[in-house]
Amino acid sequence: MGPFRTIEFCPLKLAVISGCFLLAAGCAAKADDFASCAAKSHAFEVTDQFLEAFNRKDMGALEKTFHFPHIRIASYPLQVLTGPGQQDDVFGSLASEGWARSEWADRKIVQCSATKAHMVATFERLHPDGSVYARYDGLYIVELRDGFWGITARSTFAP
Amino acid sequence: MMTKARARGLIMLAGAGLLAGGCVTFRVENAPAGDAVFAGCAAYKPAYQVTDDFMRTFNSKDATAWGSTFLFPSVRLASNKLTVINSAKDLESSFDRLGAQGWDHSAWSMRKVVQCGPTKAHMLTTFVRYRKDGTVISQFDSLYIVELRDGRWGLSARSSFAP
Repeated sequence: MGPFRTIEFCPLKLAVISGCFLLAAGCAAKADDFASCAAKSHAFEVTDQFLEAFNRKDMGALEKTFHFPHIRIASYPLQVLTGPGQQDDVFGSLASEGWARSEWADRKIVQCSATKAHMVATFERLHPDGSVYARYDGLYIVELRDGFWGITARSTFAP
Repeated sequence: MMTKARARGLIMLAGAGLLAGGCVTFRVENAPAGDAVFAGCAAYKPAYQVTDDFMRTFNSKDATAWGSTFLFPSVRLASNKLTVINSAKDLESSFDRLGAQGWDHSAWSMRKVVQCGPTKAHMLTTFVRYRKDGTVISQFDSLYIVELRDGRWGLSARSSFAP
């Protein structure tokens, strides 16, 4: 593809298209949020379970939200977890930051199908007094595989 | 000398002409849709460059060249299967598999950075597979993770909705 493209400006066509767009705006907004996509509610449910287990520091419950192999892309090289019990001491690291819990600040499905969702999220880390001390973006890939919905891969911008 | 009234009249006439069906053609720079908010992010341009190189080398059907756009190990999530790619050699079978479907080349129909940092970008894409005669075989959404590692930008992972 070259660095330039040509576009045609047709006011009458534009007026007609704009009118149609305005009429359809409500429907379009609904379509963009993947409301009818099968994986959407599962992606929210699994990431809810993920964070609840994380905040309980319950590694067993946390890993039940994973598919294995499970991919974590945070440091290099990426980690391929082939089964439970292979994670770093994440809670020890967080304790040194004064971490008490994390919360989702935002979650949004950006691509979705019957068996997979790509979710972009922002999570916050909080001190015991409830103050937010860090906020990072992350990406979660949730899939239906082996009969259950789980997180296959996650990639965050946390250091 | 043109009077203000005459100038106004000409503008109105031109506007009416345009509304009546006239079209004006502009030549504009290709701009990725909807991700301008990340244009100042360090990983933004590398994400486009890596995925440009990825597609160009993929279409060359040269596994070594294609592999140079990856960071190994790289992960592929597609067809409900997770594959860890450890070297360019692991990519060689892709061309035969796609060739059997009549594939000749692919192209991006959409790319959009949705999360971005100094060393990583998450990019949504839609790619199209074509036959040699230019007809479309299929089109799928996918996600690409591009990172800076050991001084080089490359592809860490991709996840597509291809069956």
